[in-house]
Amino acid sequence: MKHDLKVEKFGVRLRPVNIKDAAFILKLRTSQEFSKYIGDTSSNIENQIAWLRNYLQRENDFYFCIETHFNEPIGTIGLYNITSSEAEWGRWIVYPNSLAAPASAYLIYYIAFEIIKLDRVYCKTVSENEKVISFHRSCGLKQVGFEENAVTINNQKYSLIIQSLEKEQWSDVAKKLERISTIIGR
Amino acid sequence: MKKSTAIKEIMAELLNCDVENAETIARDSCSEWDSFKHLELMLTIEEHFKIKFDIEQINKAIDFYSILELVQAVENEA
Repeated sequence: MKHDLKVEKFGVRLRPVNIKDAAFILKLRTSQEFSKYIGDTSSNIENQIAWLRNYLQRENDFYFCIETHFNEPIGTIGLYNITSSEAEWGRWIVYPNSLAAPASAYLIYYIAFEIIKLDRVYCKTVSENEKVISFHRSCGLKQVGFEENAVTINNQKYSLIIQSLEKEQWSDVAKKLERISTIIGR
Repeated sequence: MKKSTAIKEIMAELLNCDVENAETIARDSCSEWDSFKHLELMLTIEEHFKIKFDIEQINKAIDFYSILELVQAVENEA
């Protein structure tokens, strides 16, 4: 599969991850500060490289590095489980001080609705991760599901909240995200 | 309207709390104070006071008192 999608706005860019990003991704995903509610990740760089090699062969999966327009990596985000009408987004870790969370969310929705032309995008968040659930609610996503004890992180079971955005609501959500993202893009 | 009252009213409206409680909430502990609301809050305060914050200042805003201090600092710079 060609992983060549690249989008940029508000001084934030999503570009396809590559093997060279393995160390950065590993650092993010094993950081206690940023990955409390991210699925378990091997701390071995070889395993991360193998995962990326496997990902690069996979269909229906886009994994992006979030970076500034100065090419400084500040996080990751992904769109996967893509069907003809919908996809899941996640693998979302952003350095909080970059203030790029809204801009990166805008860009992943832009890819989903404007480039791939999907009808719906959803995300699954650990129920204890209140700030992220609140972020999606603030954007205008609706809660559409709950999966009890669906994931295990550090030997602990967590439930997942599923929040969804339909194509029809995208323009309203885009306006909200554009307004607040101008603060970092100016 | 006093500066502190205006900030409390904006915080109360966006963070879904009572004006009287705006002084007691903090970015870390308030689950509604997510990264979307944080930028919305800072942008609304900018518009109200006709000032601009830089990214470093936006990151320093963690509660009512830090926001009040930032507004005063930016106004004094002008």
